Amino acid sequence: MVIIDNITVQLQNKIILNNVSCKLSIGHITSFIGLSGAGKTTLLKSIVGLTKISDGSIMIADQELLQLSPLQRAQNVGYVFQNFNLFSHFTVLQNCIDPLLIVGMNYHDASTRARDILDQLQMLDFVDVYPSQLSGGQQQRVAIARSLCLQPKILLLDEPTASLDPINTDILVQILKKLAANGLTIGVSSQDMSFVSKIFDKVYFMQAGKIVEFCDSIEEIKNNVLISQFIVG
Amino acid sequence: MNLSAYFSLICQGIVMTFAAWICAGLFSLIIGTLLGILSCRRLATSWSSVIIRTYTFIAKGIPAYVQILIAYFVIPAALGLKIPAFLAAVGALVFCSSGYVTEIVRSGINTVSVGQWDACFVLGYSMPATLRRIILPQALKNIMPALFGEFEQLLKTTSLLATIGITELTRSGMNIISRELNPIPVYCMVACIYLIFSGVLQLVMIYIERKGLYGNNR
Repeated sequence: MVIIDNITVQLQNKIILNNVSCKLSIGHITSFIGLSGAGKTTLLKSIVGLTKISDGSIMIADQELLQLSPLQRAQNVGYVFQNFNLFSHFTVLQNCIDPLLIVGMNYHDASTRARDILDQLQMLDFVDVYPSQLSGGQQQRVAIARSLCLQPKILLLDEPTASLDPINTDILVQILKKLAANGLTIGVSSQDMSFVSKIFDKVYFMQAGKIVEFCDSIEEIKNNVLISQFIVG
Repeated sequence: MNLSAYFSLICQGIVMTFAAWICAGLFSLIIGTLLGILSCRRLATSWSSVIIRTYTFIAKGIPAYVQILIAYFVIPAALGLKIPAFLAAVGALVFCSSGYVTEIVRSGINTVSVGQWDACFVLGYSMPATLRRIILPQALKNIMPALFGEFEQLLKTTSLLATIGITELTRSGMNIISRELNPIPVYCMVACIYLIFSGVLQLVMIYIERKGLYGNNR
C-alpha cells in the first residue's frame, strides 16, 4: 500500500503538486486522470523517487520513501515509463535479467525468473530481439516484465496507452486486471477515457496540481462531475 | 642511397613513436573518460563544470607544440626539477589529448537519453553500475569514430617530439638526412610509414564498426 500525505512538489519556483493526499490500495488499480499538466506524472515520479518532494510524506509498505535504499525502493516500486525507456543495447531477455544481476541474483536464477515473467506476458518468443525491433505494445510488455522481475509490491504506469492501438490496449487491460487480482498494487496515470473506463476501480481526478475528485465505484460516478465528464465525455 | 643501412635507426624511431603514442593515448583515455563523465549533463556540478571547462579550454587552445615546449623548458625551470624529455613530452601529449577526449566522452554521454538514467534509477542501479552497464556502452557507439580520430591525430602529433630531441620516427629521418644529405627519399619513407600506421588504425576502426564490437544498439 502507498499512502501519500500532503505532498507538495515545487520545481523552479513553480508549484507542480499542491498538498496532494491519496492512497493506493493492495490489489486495486488506482487511476490518476486529468488533462495534460495536471500533475499526474509528477505524482507517480514522486512515488518512485524520481521527483523530490518539497513537503509531506510518502509511505510505501509502512516505510518512509526517503528511508529506503535504491535497491529497497526498486524492489518495492516498479515504474513503467510512458516511452518505456528499455535499454537499447540489450535484448529483451537482457533487459529483464540485468536488474536482477544488479540485486545480486545469479544468472541462472535471473534467467529463469525473467523467462517465466516474459512467458506470462506472451513475450517469450522475443527474448533475443532488441527493443527497437518490437512494436509499441510489445515494448510496453517488456517494460512491465522488466519491472515485475524485481517482484515489486507496487507497479506504476505513466500514460500506458499513449502509444498503443486498441488491441494492445485491451491486452494491457487484461494484464493489469490479472496483476491486481494477484495482489499487486497498481497506479496508473492516464488521459485515455476509454482505457480508464475499462480498468475503473479507484479514480482520482487531478487539476492544476491538486486532487479535486475521488471515486471508487463506477455506480457512483454520477456524483463526481469531473470524473463522469472525463469518462463519459 | 641505401636506406636499409639505417634499418635499426628507423626501427628505433618507430618504437619510440609507438611508446609515446601508447603511453599518451592510454593516459589521455583514462583522464579524458573520467573528466568526461564528471562533466556530463547528469553528473556535473557547477564547480566541476567550471574547472573541467577551463581545463579543456586551455588544453585545446594552446598548440601541442607550445605545450611540449612548456613541459620540457618552462615547467622544469619553474620548479627547479630535471624532467626527462620523454616524460615531459608524454605529459604534454596527455594534457593536450585529454582535453579533446574529455569533450568527446562528455558529448557522447550527453547523447544518451535522460530516460536511460531514469530507468536505471527506478531499477535500483548504483551510479557506477549505471555508467558501466548502461550509459557508457551506449555512448561508446557514438564516440568511437571521434575517439579513433583523436588517437590518429595523436599518433601524428608525436612527430613534434623531434623538436625536443626525442629520437622518434621523424627525428630518425632527420638524423639520416644529416648524414646522407638527401631528404627526398627519407621524408617520403617517413611519410609512408605514418600513412601505413594511419591506414592500419582506420582498418581496425572499420573492422570494429562492422563487427559492432562496441555495442549492439539496433
